[in-house]
Amino acid sequence: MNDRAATGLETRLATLQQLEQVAPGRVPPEVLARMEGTRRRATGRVAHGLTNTVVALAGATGSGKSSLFNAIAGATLAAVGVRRPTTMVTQALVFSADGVLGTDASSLLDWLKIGDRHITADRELDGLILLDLPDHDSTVIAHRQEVERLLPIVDVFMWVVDPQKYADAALHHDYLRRFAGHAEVTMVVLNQLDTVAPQDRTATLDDLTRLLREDGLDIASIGIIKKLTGRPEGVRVFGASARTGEGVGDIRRELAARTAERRAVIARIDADLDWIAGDVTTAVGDVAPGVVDRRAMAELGEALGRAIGADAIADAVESSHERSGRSAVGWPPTRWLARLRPDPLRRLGLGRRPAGSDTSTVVDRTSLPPMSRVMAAAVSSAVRTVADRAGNGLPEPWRRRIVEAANSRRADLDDALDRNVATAELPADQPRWWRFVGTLQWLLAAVMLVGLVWLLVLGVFGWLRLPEVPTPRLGALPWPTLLAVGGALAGIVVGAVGGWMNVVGGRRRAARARATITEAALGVAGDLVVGPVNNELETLGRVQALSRALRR
Amino acid sequence: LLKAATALDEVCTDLPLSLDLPGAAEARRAAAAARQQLADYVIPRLRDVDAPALVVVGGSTGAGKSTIVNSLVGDEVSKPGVLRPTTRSPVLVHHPATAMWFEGTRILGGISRIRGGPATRSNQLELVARPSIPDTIAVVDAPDFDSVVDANREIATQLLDAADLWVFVTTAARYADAVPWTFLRSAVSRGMHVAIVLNRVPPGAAAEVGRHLAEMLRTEGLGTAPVFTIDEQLLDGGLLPDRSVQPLRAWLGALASDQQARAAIIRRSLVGTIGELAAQADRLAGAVDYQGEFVQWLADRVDDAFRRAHRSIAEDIRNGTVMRGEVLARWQDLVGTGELLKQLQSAIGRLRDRIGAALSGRPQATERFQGAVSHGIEIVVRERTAQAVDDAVGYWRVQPPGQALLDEVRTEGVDLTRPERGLDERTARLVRDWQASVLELLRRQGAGKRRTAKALSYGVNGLAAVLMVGIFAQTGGLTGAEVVIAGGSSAVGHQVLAAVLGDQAVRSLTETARADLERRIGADVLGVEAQRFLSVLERHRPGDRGARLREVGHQLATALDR
Repeated sequence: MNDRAATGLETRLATLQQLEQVAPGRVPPEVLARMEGTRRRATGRVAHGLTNTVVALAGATGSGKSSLFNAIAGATLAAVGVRRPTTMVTQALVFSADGVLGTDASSLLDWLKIGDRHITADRELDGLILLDLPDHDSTVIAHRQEVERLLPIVDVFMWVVDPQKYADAALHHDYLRRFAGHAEVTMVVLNQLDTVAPQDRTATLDDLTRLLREDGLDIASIGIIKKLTGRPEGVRVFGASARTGEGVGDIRRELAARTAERRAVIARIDADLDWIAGDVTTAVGDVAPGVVDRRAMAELGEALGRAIGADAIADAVESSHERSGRSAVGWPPTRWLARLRPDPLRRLGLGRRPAGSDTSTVVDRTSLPPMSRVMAAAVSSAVRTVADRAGNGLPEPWRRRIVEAANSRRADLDDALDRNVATAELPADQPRWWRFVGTLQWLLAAVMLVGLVWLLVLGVFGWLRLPEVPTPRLGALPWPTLLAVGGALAGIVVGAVGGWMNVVGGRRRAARARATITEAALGVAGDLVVGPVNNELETLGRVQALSRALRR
Repeated sequence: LLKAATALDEVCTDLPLSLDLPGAAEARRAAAAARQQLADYVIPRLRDVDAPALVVVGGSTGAGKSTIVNSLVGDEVSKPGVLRPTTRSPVLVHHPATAMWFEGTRILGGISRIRGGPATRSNQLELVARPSIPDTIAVVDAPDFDSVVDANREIATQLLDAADLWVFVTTAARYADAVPWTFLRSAVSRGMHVAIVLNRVPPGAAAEVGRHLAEMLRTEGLGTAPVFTIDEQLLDGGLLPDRSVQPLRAWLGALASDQQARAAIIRRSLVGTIGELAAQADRLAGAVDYQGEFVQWLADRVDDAFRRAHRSIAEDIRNGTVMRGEVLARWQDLVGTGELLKQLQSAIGRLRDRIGAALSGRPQATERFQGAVSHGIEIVVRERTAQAVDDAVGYWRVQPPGQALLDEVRTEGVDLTRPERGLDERTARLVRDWQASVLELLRRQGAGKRRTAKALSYGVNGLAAVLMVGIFAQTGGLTGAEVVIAGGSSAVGHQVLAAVLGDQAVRSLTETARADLERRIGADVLGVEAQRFLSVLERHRPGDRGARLREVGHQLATALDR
C-alpha cells in the first residue's frame, strides 16, 4: 500500500512539475512561487527516505510542549520552566531501536537544519523523530519565525494546547485553519488535563473538538469505523497530562502506529499538493477555454477583408466587368464610349494578366495603397474582437494572454495580408454569352446598315429623279425602313438587356471577388492570429487539465 | 475641548478611505475606533467629569477575569467556566445609586442593556447593581480579546477604549503572550492607569514569574503599575478566598474613596487619549491624502491615455493617414471617372447621376467617397479609443487598488476594460454630424458670394469632398503616386473652390472644419470614454477631508494645551 501511495505521489509531483512549466504567466506569481516551494520541499523530504517520521510538537507558550516532550521520551531532555517563553531553540529527539543515530535520520535533521539532537533507544517508537518547537504566540518574534520555518517541512503536527489557551485566536486563526487540509497528519493534545476538575474534562475535550471542526478540520472517527477504514483520516484529539502521565501512553501508541505505517510523509505531501491544487484551481477557474469558433473566424475574415480594401476591389471588379461588358455586348455605335473610362481594376494593379501566367506565384505588389494606419487600426479591431470573444469568461490574466497571443505576429500579419490580396485570383474571364451577343449585335448592326444603305440608295434614286425602284414591303412598311429602324431598335434593346445582365453579372462577380479576398485574408489570419490564439487556448486548457489532475 | 472632540467625530464619519491602498484597511479601522472612543469615552467624560470611573477588567481567555470580578463583588455576577471563551457578553457591576449613569446611552451607545439575567447576545451589556461596589466606580467584566470568537475581541476592545482604568488579568502561562502586550502598549500610549493581576500562579513560581513580569513591564514603560499576584487554587464556591483578592480590593477601595487621586487618574487618561486622538487625526489625514493622491494619479493616467489618443487621431487626420486606402480609392473613382468635375460644373450632370444612381441602385461616387471618409475616420477613432481604454486599464492594473476598482465596477455591471457598447454608433453619428456641418459651413460661406451662389448650391457635395481631401492631405503625408493622384486632382478642385470662395476663405474653412472634427472627437467620443473612468474615481475622491482632519486635530491639541 505504501508503494502504491509512493507511486501516486510521484505521479502527482510529476504533474506539478509539468504544471510549473506551463504555468508562468498563466497563474498568479504568488501561486507559482508556492507551487515551486511545495515541489522543492516535497522532493527534498522524499529524498531523505520514508523510514523516519518527523513529528513536531507545536503550541502556545506555557501549554507544556516541553513537558510532554519529556514525558514521551521518558527522560528530562528539554528544560521546563515557569518563565515564559521557555523553549528557545528547536530540539530533536531521535528514537531508534539500537540507540544509534542512523545516517538517514542524521541527513534528515541536517535538511531540517536542526542541530540540537538527542538519541534514545526505543524499540517501540523506532523511526520517530520528535521535535520540540518554540511557541508561536509569545512576544519573541524569532520563535514564531522558527515555527513558520519548520511547519511546512515536518511530517506530522502535534498541537499541544491547554485548558487555558485552547481557544486562542492565535492558534486557530493563524495555524489550524491554515492547515485545515492536513487533518490526516494532525494530532491535537489537550495537555494539563489535571488542572481541570474530572467532571469537566469531557466537556472541555468536546469543546476543543467543536472548535477544531469549526476550523475546518476533519475529526478522526474512532472505534469500529476506524478499524473499517483502516487509517486515521482526520485529526486525533487526545487528553493528557504530562505532569501525571495520564494519556501519554495513548499518545505513544498513536505515534508508534504512525511511525510504523510510514505513510505520514506521503500523507503530509499529499495534503500539501491538495492545497496547492486548490489554489491553482481557484486561480484558473472552471470555464474551459474552447477554440476560436467558425463564426468568429468568418467574422474575422470579413473584417480583415474589409480592412484591406475588399470593398474597393469588389467595386472595381464590378465596374470593370460592366465596362468590358459594355464594350463586348453594347450597341456597336456607342460601344467605344465605354473605353473612354479607365479600367478601375487595372488602375489598382489587379487587371487581367496575360493568359497562361500562373497568378498564384506572381508576388506583385499591387498599386493598392500600402497598409495605412486606418487599415492597421481596422485590422487591430478585428483581432481584438476575436481575442475578446475567445477570452470570454476566462480569468483576467488569461484574457490578457490571449490578446497578446492574437497580436504576437501582428507585423507579419500586415505584410501577409497585403501579399495575399496581390496574389488573390480575381474572376476575370469573359462570359461565353458575350461572344454570342457580341456577334448578334454585329449582325443587328449589319441589318441596320443594310437597311440604311438601301434607304440611302433609294434616297439617291429619288433625289436624282430616277424611276422609282420597287420597294418590297412587309405589310404597310417598306423593308429598308424596317431593316434600318428594326436593326437599330433591336441593337439598342439587346444592348440594354446585355447591360442589365452585366450589372447583375458584375454584382455577382464583385461578390465572388469579395469572397476570394475574404478567404485569402482568412487563410492568413488562420496562421497568424487564430493559430497563436488557439495555441494559447490549448495551453490554458492544459493548465486547467493539469490542475484537475493534481487534485486527487 | 468638547467642541473640538465633537468636530473630530463628525469629520471621522465616513472618511473617504475606500481604496485598498497599503494601510487603508488599518486607517479605516483606526477611524472607526477613534469614533467609537470619542462617543464611548471622550465626549461623555468631557461632559460629566463626576460620573463614576469605569474600571474594566480585561485579559486573555481563561485568565480568570470573571472569577476575579465575582470575588471582588463577593457574589457570582458573571458565570465562570472551563469552556473557552467563557464570558461572551460583558457584565457591568455598579452601586445601586449610580444606575442612571449606565442605563442610558451615555456611554457604549452601540451596546444594548439588559438587567436581571444573563445576556443572550454578545453585544448586550448586563447591568448588575450591588451595594458592595463603591458609588464612585463601576466594574466591567469584559470578554476576552484573544479567543477564536471575533465578536468578543471587538467588544473587549471597545470596552477597554471606554475605560478610565484597566485591571489587566493575565496568568503565569500567559504573561508572555504577544496579544495582551499589544493592548498594554496602547494603554501606555494613552496614559491609561493600569493594574496588573497575575492569576493562576502555580505554587512556588510566584517569585520567578513575578520578577520576569516586572522586568517586562519595565521595558514596556509600565514599571509603576501595581501587580497583584494570585496563586492557582481551588475555588471556594466559585469565589477566590478573600485574602487573595484583598490587596486588589483595597487598592480599588482607596481609589474609590480618594476623590483627588481618582480625578487625577481620570484626567491623565483623558488627556492621554485626546492627545492620542489628535495624533491619530493627523495620521488619518495622511491616509486620506494618500487616497487623494492615488485617485489623482489614476485620473492623470486616464488623462494621459486619452490625451495621447487624441493627439494621435489629430495627427492621423492632418497627415493624410485617413486619406489612404479606401478613401483614396474612392477619390480616384470620383476624380478618375470625371464625376467630380461634372458635379462641380453643372446641375444637369448631377441630375443625370442621380437618375443613374436611382436606376442602377448604386450610390454616387461622391456619396461613396464620403462614406469612405466616414469609415476611415470611424475606424481610426474607434481603434485609438480602444487603445486608450487599454492603456488606461493597463495603468490601473499595475496598482492593486486600481485593479480592485476595475473589479468593483465590474460587479456593478460596468466593464471598464472595453469601450462602451455605444461607441461604434456614437462615432458614426459624430462623423455624420461633422460632415453635415461641413456642408452647412460651405453653404453659409457661399451664400455671401451671390455671384457663385447658384453654382455652389448645386455642387456643394463635390466641394465638400474637395474640402475634405484638403483637410486630410494638407501636410502631404501621402507619398509618390498618391500625391500625384490625390494632390493633382485635388489641386484642380482646390482651384475651383478658391475661385468660388476665395483662397483665404478656403484656407480658413479647411482649418475650421478640421478643428471642428478634432473637437468633436475629443468631446463626444474620447471625453465620454474618459468620463466613465473619472466618474468611477469621483466617488473615491476625498475632497478636503484631509485638511479638515488636520485642522480638527490641531484644534484638539491646542485645546488640550490650554
